[in-house]
Amino acid sequence: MKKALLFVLAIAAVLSVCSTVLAADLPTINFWTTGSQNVQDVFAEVIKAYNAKEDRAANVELQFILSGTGETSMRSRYIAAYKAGNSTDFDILGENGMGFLQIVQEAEQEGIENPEGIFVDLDFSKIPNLENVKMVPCIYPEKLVPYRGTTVVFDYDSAFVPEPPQTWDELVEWMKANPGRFVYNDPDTGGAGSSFVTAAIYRMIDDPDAFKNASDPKYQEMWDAGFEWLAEIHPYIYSSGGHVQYAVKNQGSLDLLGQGEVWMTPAWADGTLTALENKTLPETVKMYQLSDLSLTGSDVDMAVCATSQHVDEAYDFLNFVISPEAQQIFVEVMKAVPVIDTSLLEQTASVEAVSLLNPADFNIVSTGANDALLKERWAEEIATLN
Amino acid sequence: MKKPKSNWKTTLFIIGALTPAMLVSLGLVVYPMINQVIRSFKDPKTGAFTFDNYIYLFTNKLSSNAIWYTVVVSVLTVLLSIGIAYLLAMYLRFSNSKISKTIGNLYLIPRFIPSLVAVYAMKTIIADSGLLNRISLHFNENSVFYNYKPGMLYNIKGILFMNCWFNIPFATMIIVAALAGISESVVESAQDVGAGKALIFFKIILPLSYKDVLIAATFVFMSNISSFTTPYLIGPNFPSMLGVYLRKQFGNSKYEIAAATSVVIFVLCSISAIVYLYTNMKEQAWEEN
Repeated sequence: MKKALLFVLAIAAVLSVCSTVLAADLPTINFWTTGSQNVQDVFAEVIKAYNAKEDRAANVELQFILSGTGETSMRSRYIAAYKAGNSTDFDILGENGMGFLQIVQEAEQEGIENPEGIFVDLDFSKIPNLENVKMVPCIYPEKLVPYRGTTVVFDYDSAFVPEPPQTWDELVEWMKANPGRFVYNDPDTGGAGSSFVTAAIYRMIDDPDAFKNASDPKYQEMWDAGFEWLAEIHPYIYSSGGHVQYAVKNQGSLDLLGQGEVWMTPAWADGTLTALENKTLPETVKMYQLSDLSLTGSDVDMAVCATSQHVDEAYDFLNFVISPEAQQIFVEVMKAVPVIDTSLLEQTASVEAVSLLNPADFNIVSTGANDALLKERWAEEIATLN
Repeated sequence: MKKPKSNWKTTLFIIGALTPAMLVSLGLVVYPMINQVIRSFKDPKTGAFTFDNYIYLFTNKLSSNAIWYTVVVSVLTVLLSIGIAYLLAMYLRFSNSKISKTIGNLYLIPRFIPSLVAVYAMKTIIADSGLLNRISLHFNENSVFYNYKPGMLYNIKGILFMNCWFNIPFATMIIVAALAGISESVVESAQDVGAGKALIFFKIILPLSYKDVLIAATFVFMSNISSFTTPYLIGPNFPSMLGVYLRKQFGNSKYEIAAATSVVIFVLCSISAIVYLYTNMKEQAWEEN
């Protein structure tokens, strides 16, 4: 018995020595992010490419949280880890610009003294590839490195809608002329619907800065007109069995569009392009924006956590993610809008498809803490209308 | 009698074998449960004791409707699926036809299909543009069947239909086992003394199987109170069921409301658990006699 115990202890000792030797060789850094399945797929590929590089500074591990199963818990977990001290495994976080604003706001609520200090101020000289990047993060430019863009667009099926409406007013007329042929998803279940609701409400606010400062609590009182507008279009939304039904999840709207039940819906550009490639949407589906106001888009960024023990190694990974090699993966795997000029990429069908979306036209909005209130009010006032 | 020498070893072994299960249930079930109950009485900002979360839950339009809707859906699911399952189980038990045997082999298949797959599969059939609709498009345009839209999705009909699909096989399995325990000779001897079919059912079959029916009903009720996949994917936007409502609260970081919702789900489940325990204890009393 004693011998066996000694044997086990010996093995454990050898193993722990080995692992420390390996760790000293190349540190492991954790990249945390959240999103739909395609985000996981794309980072699995990007990280695989990075970890295969001879001159890498670290081994990167992906810590992925599927959207809808706890994107809030990623925020809370990081904040809890930050409060607990430095010995944590949070090195790099990937989120859209608005997500970072929410993390910082939550940190503030949790009583962290310098809430913005939970992310490192970056030394951009250590990220040479940044010179190619043409996208600017919507917030915290000294902390964030954008790695892809994403935007919500209107999808329409040109087989049924040869001439789609061009303005928001025309859109309403079109809905009234084609009842049941438009749907947006419950904003609580996906970003496409939430972008539509945000755009619909903030466009009614008579303030040119409303979109830019959307997180300001003062706007909450000015939402009424937008909600009235949403109530006005409610009867013309898709219905089944005699009741209006808002799609569940971004994919829910795309399913209805693919089956020809609706002819027009807000959707993520990358989701649409991927669905077109997979033939789950008919070829006649096209994307566009209304001329008087685009649906909201976002920069998706990376930030280095203040808890990281490997900040220098993290720079090397950030630099790789915005390199042409990695950007090509983002375009090919998830049809993301690259942050570098598409002329730097190998010209493929996917690159051609995304080059139509210009990040400069993105209507970037960060509703911050107002986002949850907006969704709550939508659930209470619009979902209950039936 | 001399005690076996290794008795303390046996005791130690039993304790050792039980400890992991005990620790797991204490750590992963009891502790979080107590935590949730405490949290449901806390003010989200100050952490002070309050009933506000429960007051909100029972007065807010969304949540009070969610509670009511969940109870209605669960009760209707229990009535429908147990009713159908009982009839099916009787048929399987007392018929020896080929059809009965085939059904007996097939009826458990839905148990082996993951719920997400099943819901999506059913959607492709009963959606307004689904299989049924596509078949109906082949009818004559003047026919009543032409362009038939089931209208089953996104309302209570769809949820009940899907719940039956999941729960009938399970309930049938339990009831068939109970009916199998009724020996042929009991039924035959009743027939010999001239009892009719109705009398045999009410005096023999029902009394001998109702406990298992109640157990099946308890399990169906409990699994539907907290169901998520079905109401999330094919339920209406409003009212939503408690599982869906709970997820939304959690997603919006309203952990105290979420905790109170969990406690309500827990209380509703406890009611059926009490029924379950009560039936089981009655059985023990009967065995003693």
